[in-house]
Amino acid sequence: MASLHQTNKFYLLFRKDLALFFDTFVSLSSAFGFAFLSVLVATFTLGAVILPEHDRVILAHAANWLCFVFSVVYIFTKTIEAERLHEALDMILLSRISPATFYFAKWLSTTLVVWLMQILICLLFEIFFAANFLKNIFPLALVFLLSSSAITSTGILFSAMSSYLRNKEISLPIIIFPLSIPVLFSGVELSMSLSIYQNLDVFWLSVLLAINAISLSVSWLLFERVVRG
Amino acid sequence: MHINALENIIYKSTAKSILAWFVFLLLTASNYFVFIVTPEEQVMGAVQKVFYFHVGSAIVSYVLIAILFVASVFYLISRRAAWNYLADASSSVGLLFCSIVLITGMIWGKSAWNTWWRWEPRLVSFLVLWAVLFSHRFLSWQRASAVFSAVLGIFAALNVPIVVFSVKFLNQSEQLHPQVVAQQGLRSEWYVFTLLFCTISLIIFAFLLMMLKTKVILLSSKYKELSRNYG
Repeated sequence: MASLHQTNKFYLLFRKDLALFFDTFVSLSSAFGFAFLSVLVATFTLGAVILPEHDRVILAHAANWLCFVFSVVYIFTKTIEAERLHEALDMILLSRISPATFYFAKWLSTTLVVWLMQILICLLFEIFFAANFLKNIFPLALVFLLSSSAITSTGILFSAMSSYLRNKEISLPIIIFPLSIPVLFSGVELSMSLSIYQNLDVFWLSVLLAINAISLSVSWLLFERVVRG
Repeated sequence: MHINALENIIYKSTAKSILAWFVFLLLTASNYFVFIVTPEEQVMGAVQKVFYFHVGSAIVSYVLIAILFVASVFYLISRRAAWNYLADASSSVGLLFCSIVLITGMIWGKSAWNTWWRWEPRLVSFLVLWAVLFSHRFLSWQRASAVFSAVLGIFAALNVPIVVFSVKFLNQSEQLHPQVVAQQGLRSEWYVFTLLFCTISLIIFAFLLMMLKTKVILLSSKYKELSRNYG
């Protein structure tokens, strides 16, 4: 590993992370199962209320983001667990891979998985809630990508942190939920502006981009401190 | 900052007693100015009095989070325990003052808007700040590594600009939170004086609370060290 260029190391780590998600399929299917159940609960509770088309779509957006954040936390609890359980994280850090390379590979792979999960949740809402999401699926996918990236950038950092804590199952949501609210706020505003006005609100798009830039750079700067302890 | 320097400040009991009596006098005087001297606001009536403690506590919260940020950064750079104790104390007292801001805001909101809570930018962003400070305390209760607390302390401080500028996110007509100071809504000189006096009193009060909390943290860390050595 020592002789490899950082880009190759990044690519190998990225592939390893994707393989961890897709080969075993355990964490991915569990996250999807959890998301599916939360969509069903949302459909049962909210779908029973007879609402005008406009209100139903707004409600669907809010419920969509709610289901997303619950399933995302489940993905984060698993994302660094494999490395921690088998002490692979120490080995990786010993093999001259910089923590920054490890962080960015983890961020990219987890962002893709989280993004995929959000699109699946969106499709579930389309089926069960008649939410009319497919009409704007491409700009919506861009919003999902940006929000996935923002939430994952801090999610990886706090997932690494909580893996060292005694009550990690409860610690991660308690830390992640408050920090994810600005992302959710701008995500909900953007997706609703797409549904109502058929275009992306430039203000909230810049807020989401700013959150991405700040959270990614701060998390990258602090990641080494967290994993080296 | 070295731990001995921190101990020198914290353990000086005479200075602390004088400060405690000074704080007592300041807070009594603040109440006197708020409830006796300052004229009652014409529209809101007596409920407007909560404004002095609400704004004062909000400013104290920002000051404490600034201390949390500085102490967290310096801890990550130097790894000196004194910075961690300072960060721990500031987040603890900061959470208390954030709670006061939320509670006094709700009391004001019930009177002004006829509801305890409205989902508008300033209120939501401040609630997020409170929640991040709560998670910082949660890490401390979990006896998490000081590095983790410092990292979360930095993220808590990143929320402060969001809270401060949240009122700019929407047009003034679309939000309910008043911008009294920015819009020069304090028409009487007494309003301005009382607000300043209350804020300064609360800052000194928070400083005293931080000293006491730091003493508790220092004593508990010494107790743990002794238990490890002789237990």
